[in-house]
Amino acid sequence: MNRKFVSFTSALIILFLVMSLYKPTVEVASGSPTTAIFVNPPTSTAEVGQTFSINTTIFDVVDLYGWEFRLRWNSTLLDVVDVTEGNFLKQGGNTFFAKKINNTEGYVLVDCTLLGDVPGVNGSGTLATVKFYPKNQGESILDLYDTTLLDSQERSIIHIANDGTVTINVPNPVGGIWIPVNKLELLAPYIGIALAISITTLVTIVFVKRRKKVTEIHSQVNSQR
Amino acid sequence: MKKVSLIGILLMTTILMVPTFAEAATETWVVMHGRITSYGLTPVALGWCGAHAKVGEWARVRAFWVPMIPQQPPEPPFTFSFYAAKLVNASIVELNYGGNDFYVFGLWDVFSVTFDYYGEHNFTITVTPLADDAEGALTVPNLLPGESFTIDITGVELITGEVRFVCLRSIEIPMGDCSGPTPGMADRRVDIHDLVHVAKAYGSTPGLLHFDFSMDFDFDFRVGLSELTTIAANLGREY
Repeated sequence: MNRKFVSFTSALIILFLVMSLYKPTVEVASGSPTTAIFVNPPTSTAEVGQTFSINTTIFDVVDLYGWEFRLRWNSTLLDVVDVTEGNFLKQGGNTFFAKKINNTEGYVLVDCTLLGDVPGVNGSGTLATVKFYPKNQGESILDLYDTTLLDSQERSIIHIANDGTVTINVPNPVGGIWIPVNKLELLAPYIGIALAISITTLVTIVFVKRRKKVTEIHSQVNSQR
Repeated sequence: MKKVSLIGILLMTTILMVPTFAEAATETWVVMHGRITSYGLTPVALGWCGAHAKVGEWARVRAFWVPMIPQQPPEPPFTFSFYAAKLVNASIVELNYGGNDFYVFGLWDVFSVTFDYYGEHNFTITVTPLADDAEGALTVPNLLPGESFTIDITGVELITGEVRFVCLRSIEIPMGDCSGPTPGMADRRVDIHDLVHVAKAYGSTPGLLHFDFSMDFDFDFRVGLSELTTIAANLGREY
């Protein structure tokens, strides 16, 4: 009984040892556990009518050859004016950059790849810059989705994607704060002066005319005499 | 008299009120890729055929084949020769035509092409026409992977091949889908996988590493900006 038990236990231990040595041969996509693509800055503030930009940034990537992302926003609040390529992938050589802007549905599709048989780029940096035009007041999520990173062997790079948000405010008037003003009170002295000048002028004109008339009458009387 | 008039009016109204069902606009798109196996009686070492068609309207068919296995030394100078055929004008593009699942008839150009490589991307290309605007047909009796097809062009030996990939859709099949998560395998969407696959071959020509006729969309024997812009124009599209 004891002998059987010892054999069974030994067999189990050997099995566990063998299993611990086994390594699965499934090919896992490359990528550092910290590789991330995110909206930078994560939170933005903008004013209606004044354009602002956000970056799509990559962090801690290895052998990046090509990338693709979609960015979605509230199309009632924002329009995208333009999307431009960042400097990160250009470090690896010539690139091809493509964008599709859909302001009706509120998303952009952006792609970029290195050209030719060259290695990918390592590190962190800006993939693209998106320039927005805020149309209305409100808050919109900048949803980064369908992100794909490919290495120089055309394998997917595992990564995480982080969204951003933007708050759009109505712009303040230029030059300070709003103070209510009584226009009549403000203009009263000037109205008074204008009235005084007008009356003085009128009185002077009347006086001069009367004086002239009296002089004429006097001269007529003198001539008759 | 009044009754007759009334019945007449009623009949006219009924006839006018019968809804007229317009025939739904249906269109069929076909993509077929195949491997060319023989040229006349000569077995083909390497060959590819691609057809992209809108049934009843137009077709784009291209083929290339190398009768002998190219003896390519590791370093230039070396020579790479092949045959190429291109449908230039399609007059019949049909499914279920004359007992064939897929049939394309039209005018074809056929060339013999030789690339002489000298290294550092220096090469000369010699194109010799074998047929110019010659009548010919792509015939696919069974449009299924593994089945055979032929390209029969006047003045050119019969080209035979085997269907490898078939896609039939009632929506437009965009150009540019040449890769997917598995490199070189189309995944029915145009995305970064296609762009990177073509970008890796950017600047390559037949006989060089990464060149693949399936990604030479304009059939100019070079993977260049035209291929990248074709993909860029269709990015995000699925079929």
